Amino acid sequence: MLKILPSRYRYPLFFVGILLMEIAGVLFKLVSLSEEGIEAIVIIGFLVFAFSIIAT
Amino acid sequence: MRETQDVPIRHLIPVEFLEPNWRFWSFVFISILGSILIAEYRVPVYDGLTDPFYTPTVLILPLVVLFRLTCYAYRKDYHRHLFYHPNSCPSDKRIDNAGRIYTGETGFFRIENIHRYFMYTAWAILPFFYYDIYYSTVYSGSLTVTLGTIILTINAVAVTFYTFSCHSVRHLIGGYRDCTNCPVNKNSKNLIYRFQSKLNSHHEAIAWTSLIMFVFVDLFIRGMVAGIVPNIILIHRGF
Repeated sequence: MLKILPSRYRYPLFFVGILLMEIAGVLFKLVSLSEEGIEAIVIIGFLVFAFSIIAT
Repeated sequence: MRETQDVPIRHLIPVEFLEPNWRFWSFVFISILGSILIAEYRVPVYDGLTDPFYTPTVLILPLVVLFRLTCYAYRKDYHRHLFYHPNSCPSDKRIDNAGRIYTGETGFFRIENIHRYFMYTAWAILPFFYYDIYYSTVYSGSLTVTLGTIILTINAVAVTFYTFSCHSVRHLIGGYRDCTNCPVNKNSKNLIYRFQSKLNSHHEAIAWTSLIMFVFVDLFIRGMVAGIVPNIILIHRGF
């Protein structure tokens, strides 16, 4: 199987991806950021999270 | 004679919770933050569909969480991926800390043996999932089957399969016997045992499927509330 990323890089990406999505939720509650800005953070977080799972 | 330095020092709090392990503490942090956000952004019952995170069964959620935390499938995952110890079945030494011996299900981690009792609490929660399906079909006063109903059904079936493919169930329905292939044990009970054993061999896959389904159903209902996802009506018939 093709190894894109070794696990020592994938694990931090996994946590960073989820953290970005959660931080977007916190920012939406606490900071008056535009909805587009929040959505952008969530999408980036999800892409990082998905990449950490796919790039085995 | 065994040398003194070979005997690991036993603490009341296991070393897994004390060492500066970024994987474990990252997991703890995102779990706590995630729980706060779930409590903060509530989802109402929408189109008769109840979000699995906001059912009345949430009251027994700690027991269900403990059922999953002590599950044989998940404990392998968190020992390997969060505690990073052991890395695999044949190695009991850590790559970054060769002096640290794997102590397994001893000390504090004896709590994992209570899985057999949490299994009953998991049984107790199952009817509520099926009640949510029933409610989603009759909430409008007529028989309604929507895409949401189908997704709730898949979720309920996944959780049921997960609960009944459990290793503790396997023990309960025949695994306790010394010999399963002896002539005296070749009966209908053995057939059930063999069927459950086949399910049990896929327990880890079923466990992750059911957990991912929980999140998917939650996102689906959130998407409907936000008006992004349509709830397609498949059957609508008056009584």
